[in-house]
Amino acid sequence: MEVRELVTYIGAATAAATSGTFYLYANHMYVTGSAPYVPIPVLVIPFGMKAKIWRVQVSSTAAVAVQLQFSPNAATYYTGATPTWATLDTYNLSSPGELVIDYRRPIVIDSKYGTEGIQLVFASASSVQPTVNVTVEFVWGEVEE
Amino acid sequence: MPYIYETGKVLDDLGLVRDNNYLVVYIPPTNKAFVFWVKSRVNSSYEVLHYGPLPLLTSVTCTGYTGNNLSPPATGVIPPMNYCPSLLPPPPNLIPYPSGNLAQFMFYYEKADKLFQVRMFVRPRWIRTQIQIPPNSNQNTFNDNIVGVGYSGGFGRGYLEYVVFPGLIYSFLWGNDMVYGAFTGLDIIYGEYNVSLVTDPDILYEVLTHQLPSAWVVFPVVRVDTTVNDKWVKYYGFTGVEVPAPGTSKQQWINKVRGELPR
Repeated sequence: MEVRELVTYIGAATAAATSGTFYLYANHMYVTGSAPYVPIPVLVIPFGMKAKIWRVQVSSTAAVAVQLQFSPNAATYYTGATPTWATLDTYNLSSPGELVIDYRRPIVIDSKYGTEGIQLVFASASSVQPTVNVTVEFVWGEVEE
Repeated sequence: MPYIYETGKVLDDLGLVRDNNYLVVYIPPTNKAFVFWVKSRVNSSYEVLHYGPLPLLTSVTCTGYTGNNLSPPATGVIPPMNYCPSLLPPPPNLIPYPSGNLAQFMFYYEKADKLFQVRMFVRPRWIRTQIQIPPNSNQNTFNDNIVGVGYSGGFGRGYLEYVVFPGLIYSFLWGNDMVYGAFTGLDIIYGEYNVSLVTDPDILYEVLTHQLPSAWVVFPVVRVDTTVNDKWVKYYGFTGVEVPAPGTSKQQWINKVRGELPR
């Protein structure tokens, strides 16, 4: 049976900086502040599922470039290794404000091995603390014949 | 594949059996079935029940997919990369003082003329699901090997559907292969039916050969545990009627099964 879950992750940088990673939080995520119950910098897609990225929103008080990155071995982040990242898309906010990208066709991440995942990172000429808002649809059982 | 299918217009928009129709519960390992005449639905117009969080207890130690066994950090929270067992007690404030078996399984009952059809929708929808009948009996297999929530296959995600027989308790396994712990939720669509077990061989034959409309639910076991078998005998007087192979004549089939049917 095909099931779908639409999740909106809110990502924030831990502190103002010229570059960094967004730590993702969602309202169904159990967070206490103590590991492993903390916002996550790397979202690993569960085995056999698809993650469809439908919408990305970037907000910042200064110009910032945000990258959506993919790694086939993102899960190794949680075993202390450093995954290899490739950029899937870049969102350039050229001045303070927000940028909303609503994909007409989503970016699809297929979890073939159960290790694939994404992260969002930012870089800026000045020290900023941007936020992102990412809408991801998880799909199970969508088998293409 | 649907968990339930129908011949004719037997199911309503909620996936439940309409009044005055037949419901077949098929038992794959024995190729037998029970046929029930669903006379009425007790809970017409209130079939949807929001259970609340999954009944995951902090006292339970779950099993880690990568070896890190964790307990739920709070009731109803599933830890990351772990799978956890649970029963299904009634949700708070549903039944004033549940006790005994009912305190372990909210659909527990002891009547031959009642039947529950249950559809469970788990949130987040990626939660791996597995039912165990009787409790802690792993019956999901692939090519004769045990599989399930703790393996890379043999589970559903976010959904379960089953029929509850009298005198039995079912248990569940829930798996979270996401890298974070999650608050869970469970919505249930159920039918509490007033039923009569059909034992008339003429009607049985016509239902089981799809000449009469019916809904079919597959009982999710690969072997019939003694506990289950004993309850069938206790409440129904037999362990189901053999399903006729296509092309079997009615007389041939009746001659074969007549002795098995309760009088």
